[in-house]
Amino acid sequence: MKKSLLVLILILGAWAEAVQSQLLPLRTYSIELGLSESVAHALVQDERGYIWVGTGYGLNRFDGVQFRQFYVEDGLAHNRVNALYEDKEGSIWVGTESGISVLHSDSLITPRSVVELNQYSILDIFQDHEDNYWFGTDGNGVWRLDSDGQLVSIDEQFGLPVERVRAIRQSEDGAIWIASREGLVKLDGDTVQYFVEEHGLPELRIRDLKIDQYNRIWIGSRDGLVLYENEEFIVFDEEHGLNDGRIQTISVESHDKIWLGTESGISVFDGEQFENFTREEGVPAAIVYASIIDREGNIWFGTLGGGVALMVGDYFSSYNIDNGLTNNVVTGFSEDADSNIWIATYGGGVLRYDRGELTPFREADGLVDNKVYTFHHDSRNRMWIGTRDGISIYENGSFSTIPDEQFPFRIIRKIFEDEENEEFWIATYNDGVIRLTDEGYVQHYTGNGFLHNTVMDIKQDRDGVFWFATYGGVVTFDGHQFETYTIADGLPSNGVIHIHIDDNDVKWFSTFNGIAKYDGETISRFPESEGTETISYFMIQDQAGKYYVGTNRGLYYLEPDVLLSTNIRTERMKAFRIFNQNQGLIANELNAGGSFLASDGTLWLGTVEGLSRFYPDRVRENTTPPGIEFEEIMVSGRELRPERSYQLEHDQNFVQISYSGLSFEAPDQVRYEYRMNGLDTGWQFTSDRMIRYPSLSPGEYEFQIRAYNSEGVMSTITRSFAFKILPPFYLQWWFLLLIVLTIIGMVLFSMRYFRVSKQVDIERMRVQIASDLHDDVGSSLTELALQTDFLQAGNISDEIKQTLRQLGEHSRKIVNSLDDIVWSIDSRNDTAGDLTDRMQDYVNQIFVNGEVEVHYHFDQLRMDEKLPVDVKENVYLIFKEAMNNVIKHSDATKVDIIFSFSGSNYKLEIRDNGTKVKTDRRSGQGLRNIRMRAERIGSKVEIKSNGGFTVQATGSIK
Amino acid sequence: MIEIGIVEDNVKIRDLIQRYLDMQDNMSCKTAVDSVEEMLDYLKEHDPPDVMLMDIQLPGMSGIKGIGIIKKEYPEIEIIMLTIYHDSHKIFDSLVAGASGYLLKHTSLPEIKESIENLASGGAPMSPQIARKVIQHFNESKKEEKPESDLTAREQDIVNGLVDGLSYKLIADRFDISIDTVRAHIRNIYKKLHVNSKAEVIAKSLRGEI
Repeated sequence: MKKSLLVLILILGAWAEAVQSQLLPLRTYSIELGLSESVAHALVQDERGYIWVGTGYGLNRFDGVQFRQFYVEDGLAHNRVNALYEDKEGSIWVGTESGISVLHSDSLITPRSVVELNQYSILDIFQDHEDNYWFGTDGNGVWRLDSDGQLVSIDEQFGLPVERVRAIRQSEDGAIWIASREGLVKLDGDTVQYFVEEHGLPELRIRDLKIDQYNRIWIGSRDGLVLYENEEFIVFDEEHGLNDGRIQTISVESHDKIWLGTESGISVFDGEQFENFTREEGVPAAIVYASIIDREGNIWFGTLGGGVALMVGDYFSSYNIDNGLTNNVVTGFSEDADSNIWIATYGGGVLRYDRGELTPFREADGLVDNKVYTFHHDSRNRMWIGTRDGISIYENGSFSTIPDEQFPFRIIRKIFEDEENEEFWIATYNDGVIRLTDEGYVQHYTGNGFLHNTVMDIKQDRDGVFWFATYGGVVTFDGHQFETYTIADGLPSNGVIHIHIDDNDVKWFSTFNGIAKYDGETISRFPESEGTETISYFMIQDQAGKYYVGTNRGLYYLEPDVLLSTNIRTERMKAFRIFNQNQGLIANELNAGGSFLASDGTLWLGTVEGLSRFYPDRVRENTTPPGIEFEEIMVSGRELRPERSYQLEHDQNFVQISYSGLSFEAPDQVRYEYRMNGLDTGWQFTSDRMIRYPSLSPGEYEFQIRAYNSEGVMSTITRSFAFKILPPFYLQWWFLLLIVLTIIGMVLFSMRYFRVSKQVDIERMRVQIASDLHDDVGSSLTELALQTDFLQAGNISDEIKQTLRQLGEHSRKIVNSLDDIVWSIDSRNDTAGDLTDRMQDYVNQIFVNGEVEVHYHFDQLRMDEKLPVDVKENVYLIFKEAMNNVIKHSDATKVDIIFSFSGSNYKLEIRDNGTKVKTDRRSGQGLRNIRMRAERIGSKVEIKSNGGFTVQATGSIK
Repeated sequence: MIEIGIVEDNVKIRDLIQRYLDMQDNMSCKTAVDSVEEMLDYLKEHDPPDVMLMDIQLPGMSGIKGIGIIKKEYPEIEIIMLTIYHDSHKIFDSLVAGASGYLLKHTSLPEIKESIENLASGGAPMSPQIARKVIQHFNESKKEEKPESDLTAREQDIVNGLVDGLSYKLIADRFDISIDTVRAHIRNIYKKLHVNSKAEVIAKSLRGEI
């Protein structure tokens, strides 16, 4: 009995093996997308984040969107690339069919030190802890390039028997492990250990060797996976479920997730057993040559004939007609009491999913129509199946159809049971909504006032109100009357496909133009920024309450509260994410009704190309900052290097900059912020990978760019490119300055030429006159005066003394006048200050010791301002005349002298308090002289007698 | 007895002044030459005079330059500038160079005599325009921060008084000091003017401008 049970279990196990495996969520890139060849031998990610793919013809650099190829003409040693390795300095070493190339900032060279290896095919490259480079060749064993530049053959040095060397690695203890077709070699200093079958290896021929993060040594043989532990080889092979023992590549994701590429696809080992994925499960080719795990944790496979396949996570598993579905258009799901999932297809009937086994039921099995839309499990344990041709009831393993006389309607989109009233509401595509009871039915359609005949969904809220999604808007029914919500009330579209009511009784409407939220008071729509304004088929929440929306562009994860409340870009990014084919969703176009939360927490999603089962718990947060690199900077047709700075001519102003944010998890969701310093004030946000500035004005610019991954994680670096667009020569400062200076120069020159030449003549004449007067007349008169003084000192008569005294006074008076003239024509005495000095001197000279109080008012005077010679002279002479008037003809005891000069206008005022006139000559010669002098300089003179006497002269400088 | 020397190129004027001054009981004027160079030669072999009358415009070295050289060698000589006309720039320059006063040539001989007596007894002439230049000069000096040559508050008051056109007597009245004190202050101001100019000369020579 026990034995038979065991047999049964074994049979069941074998049967389970036969069950269709789900599709692996692989994204593939091959020649159609720009890979140079479909045979990918080697993979590596460089420090910037690019993925490099070595193929049978050419080396490729991948940025998530585009491949850039490198061939022999770009410096590649040979077009067949076998191995790729990134050294500690970030250089990529390329092992080819004949020799080695090293890639440094996108240019390829063959270092002289390894030129000798050009004759060999290089199968693997490795840099050890001591910075020696090791090379595995095809047929010539192992070579080592020592850090001192010496290239040695290890085979010769140690007498190794290895020829075709596939992998070289270093274990924690420093030993070098060499995997070859001729067995495994451990090189520990000078000790050589050679392992073959008799040491426990299942096969002599070894293809790959990996030392993982736990320091385990994994060996990929031609006959199973081998773990070297405690000096023993432990073999995992067919007995553990491996479908093909010919291992090509090993990548260790975690302690219990070891990925293998074999000659039959991909296998994953959990430490005990294998799960296998072949072409049928979505692997693009049978033979998988290479594998790597990138920084973000994505697993890359290089295949023979299928290009590169990338797996970003295992949160989607899918089915389509290739692995068990009867039709790819999946329209609905349901879960029965036994936790089986029922799948509705449009054309393939329904399927029951029972722990990996898909069982179809079609018209032949009693289903009314193979085009199925919806399920409903009723309270009496019957399953209602809404089809294009009526309703089938599945009960106790058989199908029955609700007859026409009970229910004459077609195209059933939704069945809803009102358990309380023991009646059903049935949504139809053409006939409105039908209320079905045991007694009969009531049809609500446009004919009797219902909003629209196409009804897609029915829900009942907390208060028992029914909500209907129609193509004319939303309709509610509270048991008595219908109410409607349309575009007029704020719906994004009248075409409402689905209604979701969440735990807070908030209604979410999925429409042809996005999602709307109705909180009982207002309908709110999502901002356009995330592109949610697209056909939305449904909203669903997972067990954790997270919201997802099925659209024609994939499954949107969103946090409605954040999206509806904040405008901060980065916060919005974290609150929104798209899952689509890039992550393994079987198709981006989901279907109305194609959403279901199963009791195990998975979401079942129906698309037009199959179904995907979504495991929300398995979605890992992608916290790896994306790389950001410039791809191309073109300025008016010329390519510039971002690391240099340029001075461009004014007509080189068409700037086009392309760049890549390096995140492979969701390259289509990478976002960028850029800023052109010198033009933009703030960061601009974009999803474009290229920015154009068609016509930049001259100036200094710095273009800055940074990237965000799909979850809003910013790149750690900001790339920038600085350049300067020179103004055209006719706008450059030196040219403008030159022009201005030239004009000024010419004006000044011509002005000076005429004025100066004239002035020089006048000046010369003046100086001549002044020096003549000084030298001749002045000296002579001084002599004369001194002579009279001298004579008076002698013993002479009073009469003669008197005459001599008058003679002296007269000549001194003439000298004084001369002095005034010389003073006035001397150009060094031409400031207002000089004039007032002179005035004060004169006052001091004529008023001896204070019989008259003199007050000067020079407050409004700019002392350093220059006065023209004629003005200076005549103002002084007017002043002198006025003062003489005071002293000779007035009994004044107080004189106010006011002189102001602003640079253009001047005013001289002499005001005394004399009331009595000493003589009657007051208006005589003196005042005439004043008027005459004033006239010469165009000055206005006012002479007032008002309890004193005032002479005022005003004028301006022309 | 005040010993007087004259540097003046106009022979007639020079003879007249020399003869007149020499006639005075308290004065002696043995030396009258027509250039600074001649005066320097004379000074090398003879005792320096107490007071020297100096013309500005002279053949060869100018009077202003001559003052500087003579004052450097014989600081005890009081120099009065003689000028044919009232040129405040030149007068001020000569004061800065070291002159203790100035006279217009057509000043009457008795007045010249009086000025010399004043100077010998410690007086000093200063006209308003010169006072104005003095203020200017010290203001500019202030900017260069040479506190040792700043005017004291009282000296400042006196200069301001002169600028206002007050006579020595009025200044003395205003500040309740004697005229002699005013004169002493003014002499002091002259000294500071000279010190100041010397400092300037040193600074310039250090900068290699001379």
